Amino acid sequence: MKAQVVNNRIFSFIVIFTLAYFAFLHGLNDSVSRLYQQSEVDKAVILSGFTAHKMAGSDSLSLQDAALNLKASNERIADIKVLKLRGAKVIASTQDEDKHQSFPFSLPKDQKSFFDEAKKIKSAYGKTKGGQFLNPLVSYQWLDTASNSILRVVYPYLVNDRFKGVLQVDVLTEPKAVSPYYVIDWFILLVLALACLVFFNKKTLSNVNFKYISVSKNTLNTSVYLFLFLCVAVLLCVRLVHNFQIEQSDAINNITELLKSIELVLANTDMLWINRYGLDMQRLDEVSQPFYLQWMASNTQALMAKLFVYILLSSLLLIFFVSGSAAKTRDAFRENRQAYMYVLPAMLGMLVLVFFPFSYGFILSFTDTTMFNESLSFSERFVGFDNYLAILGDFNLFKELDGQTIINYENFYWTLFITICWTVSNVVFAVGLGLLLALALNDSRIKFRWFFRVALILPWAIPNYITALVWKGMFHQQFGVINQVIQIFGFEPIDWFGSVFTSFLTGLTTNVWLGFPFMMVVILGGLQSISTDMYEAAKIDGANRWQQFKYITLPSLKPTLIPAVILSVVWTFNMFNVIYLVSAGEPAGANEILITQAYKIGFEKMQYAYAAAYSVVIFMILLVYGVFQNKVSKVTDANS
Amino acid sequence: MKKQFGILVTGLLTLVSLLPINLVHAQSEMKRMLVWHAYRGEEKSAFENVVKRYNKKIEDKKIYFKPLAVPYDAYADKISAAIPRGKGPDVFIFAQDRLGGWIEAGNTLESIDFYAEDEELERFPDSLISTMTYNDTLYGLPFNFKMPAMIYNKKLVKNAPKTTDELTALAEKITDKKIGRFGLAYEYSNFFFHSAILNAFGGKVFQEGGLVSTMVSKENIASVEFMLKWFEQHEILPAEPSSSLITSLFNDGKAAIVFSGPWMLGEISPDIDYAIAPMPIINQLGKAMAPWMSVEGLYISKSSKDKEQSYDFIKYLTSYETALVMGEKGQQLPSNIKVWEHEVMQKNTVAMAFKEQMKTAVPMPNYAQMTLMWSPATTAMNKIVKGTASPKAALLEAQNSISKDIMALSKSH
Repeated sequence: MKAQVVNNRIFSFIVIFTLAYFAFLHGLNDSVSRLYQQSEVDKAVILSGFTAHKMAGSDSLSLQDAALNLKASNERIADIKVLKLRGAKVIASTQDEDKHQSFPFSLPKDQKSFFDEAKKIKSAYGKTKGGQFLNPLVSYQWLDTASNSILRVVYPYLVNDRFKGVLQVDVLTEPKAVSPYYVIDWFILLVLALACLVFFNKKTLSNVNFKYISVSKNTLNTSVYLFLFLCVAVLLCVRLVHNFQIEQSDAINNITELLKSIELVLANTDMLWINRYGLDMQRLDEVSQPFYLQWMASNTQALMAKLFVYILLSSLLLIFFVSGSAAKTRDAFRENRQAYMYVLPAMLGMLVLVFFPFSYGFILSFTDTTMFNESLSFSERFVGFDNYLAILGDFNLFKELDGQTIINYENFYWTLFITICWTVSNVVFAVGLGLLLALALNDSRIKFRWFFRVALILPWAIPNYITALVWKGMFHQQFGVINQVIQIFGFEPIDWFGSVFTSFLTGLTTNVWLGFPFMMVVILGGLQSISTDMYEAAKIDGANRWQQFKYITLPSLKPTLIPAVILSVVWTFNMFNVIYLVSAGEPAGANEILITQAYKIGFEKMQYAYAAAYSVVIFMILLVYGVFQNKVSKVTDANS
Repeated sequence: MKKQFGILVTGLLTLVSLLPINLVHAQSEMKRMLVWHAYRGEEKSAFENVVKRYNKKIEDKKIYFKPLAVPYDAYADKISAAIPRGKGPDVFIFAQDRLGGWIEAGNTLESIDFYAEDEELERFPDSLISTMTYNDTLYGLPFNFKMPAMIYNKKLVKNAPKTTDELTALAEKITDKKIGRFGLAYEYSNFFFHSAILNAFGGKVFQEGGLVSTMVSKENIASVEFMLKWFEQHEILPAEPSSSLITSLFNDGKAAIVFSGPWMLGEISPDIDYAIAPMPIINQLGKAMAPWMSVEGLYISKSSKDKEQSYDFIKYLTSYETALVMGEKGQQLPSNIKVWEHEVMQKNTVAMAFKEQMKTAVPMPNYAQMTLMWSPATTAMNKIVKGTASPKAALLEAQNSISKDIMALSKSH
């Protein structure tokens, strides 16, 4: 039995170690091939720029001849094709399929993607911001052909600095293989690790009792395996990063050589085209230039970050398996298979409808996603805690406008203040009114109790947005019934949505109207469960009505009332419909609550990530409230 | 026994679940192209009819277009979510106001510059083509247009006022606050409707390019002050206007003149005898009120399965014969200008009045930043109308707020 456990552990260790190793290797391979591709792209772009420059300067020859000459003179250029944007005309091409065409001819419909690229480059060319181009002015794409990997570069074709069209250059690239010496590293390390393992296993590990701390055998074992794994992994990473740096300087040398050869050709000509690509002139110089160092550093950093994530994940997995948690989980599943099957549909539903959107929103809140950059990759949008800092760190409660100081209604803390006022006042009024009505309806002396019960539940039964719109109409300054009644009594009509307080009242009235029936029903249920014996006993002891209420009714209602209040707080805190439909946050967004503000930020200002962070903050507030409320009610329970 | 029965049932179920796959296979010889729209009622049936005709035309190509009505509330969000992920329709119809946003977000709209020939574009007025153009690139064909015009109750207004002075005088006579009757009613605090005065004064909400908000320009302030005169001095406008209030006032005969668009016509009660005329000329400027025009465009999705065929389809939808069906049966105002010479359209006084209004209407900007403008502008207008801020201060606040939001968006650009 014991041997089996040990075997299991060694087995898990080896499997995880191997998996982690392949993940490392994959990470390295990926980084190296991207590095290689980047250097090939750089080279191809430089070559295309050179070609474009030559073509534009070839006055003596026809464009087609110039293209053919260039193709013949450089073995790396596979094909050249020049497109004039206006009318989508091909004005030169060395491609075989265009051999028999007479230039210029219209671009065939099936080559529309070429035209699209050209359009994109043109719009990028037109857009400048402070002398810097907003988008890269070149596009490239890998073409996979059987023999050689070809890089297709589309480059702006300028004549006398005017945008005429684009140049499509197919550049041959050299294939790259990752050298196999990593495998040898792996063998050495694996043997090392196994040797250590055998050594440790021979010494039987038992519970260790130090003076103050006792470490169980299991923990000790797990720590040993983890320590071993970490030692090997870190060694491995150091090797990988070292190898990567060698690859990197290779790639850089590669570019520098090409640049030097072109530099000689272009010694005294206009080098503007290189600037246009965004290449710094410095890149033409030696490897020691800061640009390259920076490039190398950032590449290495990216690789190390990747490796770190692999180590972390593998360690967690290792602990999970080696400490026996995996086996325990498996046993739990086995023993209670039926129970897990029962909850499976619900879990799946929760996963798709609750956990996925929630975690998506949570992740979104750490980016700067807006309407404009949705299509960028996650790492480009990642900003860490910026959104949270912007929300919670903004204390500008006042702002200057036209010489006046006014409250900044968009500030988070103002909105939070309004939300808390809104929640507290709503719950107090709804519970108060509900309690009053429930007490009245519980009195058997009232006739037609059934009728009142049904009638008072009606506000709850009508869809709340309809009720909200009806109330909004009733609060209208000229046509609303409330102001008309006020006028009958000879008062001036009130501009309900004009000031912060009256506008707050409109929402409050509507929501209390919507909320009291629920409280009434809950309390009524609670009241009916109180036995009448207690009241009779109290009467005999000489308690008056108030004392009866205070010492019997209220404490007996507590178990029903507290969950209802918790629910009601959460609902009211996020009561979107009433605020949005009745006061719409008027005046000037002063009566916005957190949830409507989040909606505004997300779907009117299109700052999706900021809105997501706002929602997470709302969630956190409610979570803290929930935990706190739970604790408080438990304490009070214990006291009574 | 039980076990065997279980196996039998499972086997049968598997067979049944496989059946639909076979059916789909039988149908899939025809390539299906999806068209999304948000039409209902007459418009929907007219549109489906037109698509059917086109499908008959291209029968031998083994391809057909399938119209799908999408509920309007979620329409724009569905487009934004589906197309960049390679799903959704091949062709869709939407107003131009979201055009900029979709282009900036990328991977949503296909430019049609490559397909469109100059002669094909001649069937549309230039102002409509401009609404479909963004950064000098054409992204769709205009299908139809909508804009507010002057709708008046014939019982209260004999002749449509030609100038704002006439309108003011007439409205003052009709207005009786005691019985809640107003000479003029429109959503003046909504910038979409305020645009009619704004544009006449030469006001703008954004500088060319949409990156700089110009809410507080002196033309904008003047336009707001002009509106305030109607509200405060002449008192011909009701307070807190909303679209439902305006419709119900008009239906009760308590609003003589309203500024609203074709979308209101279906809600006007049959007891009201109404007519439509272009908005009046503002006397102090000598220029007609010029409302924003909203244009529905036909767009090709970036993930369309067959873009060339899609272009052929949207070209057909704007052709003379289609435009006539959409104008006559679908009650649309077609973008194909030749159709308006047809006697069916000439006899349609309602449509002709809106067509007349189009002459002065200004295409609503299609910048992505437009969506940032509405909420601050409404806040500013409400403040101005309630008198809690001067036009200048309120518009300045709106401008600051819009500029801040533009910054927040372009930071991530």
